Amino acid sequence: MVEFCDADFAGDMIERKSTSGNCQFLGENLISWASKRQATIAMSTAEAEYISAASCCTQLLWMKHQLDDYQINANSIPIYCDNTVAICLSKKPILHSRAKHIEIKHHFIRDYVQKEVLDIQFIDIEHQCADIFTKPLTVERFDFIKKNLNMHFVFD
Amino acid sequence: MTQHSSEGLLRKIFLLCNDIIFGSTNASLCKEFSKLMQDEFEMSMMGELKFFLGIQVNQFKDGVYVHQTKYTKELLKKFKLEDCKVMNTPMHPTCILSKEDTGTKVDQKLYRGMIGSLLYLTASRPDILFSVCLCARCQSDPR
Repeated sequence: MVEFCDADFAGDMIERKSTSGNCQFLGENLISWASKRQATIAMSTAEAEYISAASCCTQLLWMKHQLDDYQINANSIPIYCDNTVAICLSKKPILHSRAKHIEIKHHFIRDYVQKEVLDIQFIDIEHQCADIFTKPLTVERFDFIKKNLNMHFVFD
Repeated sequence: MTQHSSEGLLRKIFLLCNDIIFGSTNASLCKEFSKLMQDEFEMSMMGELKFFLGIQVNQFKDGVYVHQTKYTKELLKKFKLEDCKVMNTPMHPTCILSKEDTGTKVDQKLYRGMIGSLLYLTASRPDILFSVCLCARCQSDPR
């Protein structure tokens, strides 16, 4: 099981809230996806990405429990995030001046990263599949991600 | 409902109102279940899963394809958009939706109907999810 999470900083032009997007793969098949405007206004891209990673972590944990029912034990599930600061924030419980205001609920992910249930890793923007859920894209990029998401044209 | 047999085989059964879909990692378990159900209740066996809740399922050798082609065509007909121009992406990268009072008002009821229908389509189309959600935010005063 693999997860991609991304955020678009201040994507909402009216309220300046960020958009989080995430998608989960089982093997190479896309099984779940989401796009959601965040409830709080992020002050930096790192914060937006961190909130996005934390919120999609809940979905991943639910899926892990589902898999447990089938006697499939998934451990250290990789979450791919394209922001190094957000990754560092989730690995080390340090409060920087720019990160101390983040609501407690978003620090939910830290615990699971430390328990090695989740493994948050860096991915370059080029291969970030969750891009499609956070912003409108150009034709080339759109088609590229659609291919990565394993979407095919079906002849009916 | 999920059942595990002693040989590590898996059987999954979904019930929804009057419909049942079931699947298993082993074909004999499927046959056994369908016989059991047909003996017990009065029901007809529709065969391989093709259409469920507006979602079409095509099972080929190279994989299972889940799509909503039929639903999409019905939507186009419903909103009289059959002759519209085909676009490559759902939204232009520089497109900005604002809440300013400029622009002519459109029928809110129709707009909401479209959003609702499209939201159901996102069940099989992750690529339009972002655009639909963005449009859904303007539902209170569509222009």
